[in-house]
Amino acid sequence: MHRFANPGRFLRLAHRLQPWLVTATVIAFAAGLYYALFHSPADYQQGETVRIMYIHVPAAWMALFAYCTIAFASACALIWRHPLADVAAEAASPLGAGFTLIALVSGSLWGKPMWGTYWVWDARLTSFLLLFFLYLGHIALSQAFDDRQRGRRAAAILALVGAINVPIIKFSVDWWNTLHQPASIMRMGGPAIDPSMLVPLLLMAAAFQLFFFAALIARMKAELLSARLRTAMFNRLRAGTTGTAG
Amino acid sequence: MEALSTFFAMGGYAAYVWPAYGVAAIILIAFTIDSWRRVRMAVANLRRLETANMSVKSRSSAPQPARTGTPANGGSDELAGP
Repeated sequence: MHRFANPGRFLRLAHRLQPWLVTATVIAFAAGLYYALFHSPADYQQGETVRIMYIHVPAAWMALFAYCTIAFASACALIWRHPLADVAAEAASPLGAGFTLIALVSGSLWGKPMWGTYWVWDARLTSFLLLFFLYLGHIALSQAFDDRQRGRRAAAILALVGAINVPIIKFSVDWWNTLHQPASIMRMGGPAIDPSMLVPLLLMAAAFQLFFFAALIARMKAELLSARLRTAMFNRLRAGTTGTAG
Repeated sequence: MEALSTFFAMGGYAAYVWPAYGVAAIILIAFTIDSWRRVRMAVANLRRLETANMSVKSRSSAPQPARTGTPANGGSDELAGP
């Protein structure tokens, strides 16, 4: 992990990795969308609405994955003061909020025809809405202080406290009565879903995952370059005030 | 034509399926554009500062009448890292 602690090393690695990540993301989305929209059957109960699953489930997985990334990065930032951890957490936060919003909206659009309602205040949906607000809080808090370091520290603490919500979301469908169906992929005894639907789902999940990494690296790169710019500006100002007239 | 309209009808669920894909597309495309713009702006700002620094240095080391153009390397070493 600390091999990548050097921002310069990270930037070089990101620079080399980025074209491959972008290409892989585009290919995965092309294949995933082809399978999701054209090359998979309608469900015998849910009809064509099952195609919403190929958006909803990957987005929900990524919403949780991005939050785990932030929580892990926050722990690294608070405990080891890893120089890239804060940058990673800050870059991942808006992406996670976006995935959460996709999952909430697509789930709502799936719920209306299948459950007869856009929304119920059950454990799964409520805890997922809370996840969205945690993301918004994290974004707001990391920018709330003039001292960036203080803001990032506060945001890291919020992220770690909010991590309690992740297992609550995961197990909410088992612990409480809900309209939401229980896990059918990541469960004991293997996935309970036909391969014709599993393939598009996994392709779309791969596409979302690759998108997350590509966007995360781009945003981290932008932030590291901006930090370098701020340092350079500061040095220039200091040189201008203490140096000879110029 | 028939097949196309059947496809877009989504078995009568077009009003739910397409907005779900649409929202995802809008959000992911917005992130793509935003992330790309952030990188481009950071790179451009660094280049600009580098260029300015170069001209300040060259002016202070050897007195020149005015800025005579941008340095040859365009500040690329600033981006390559230490």
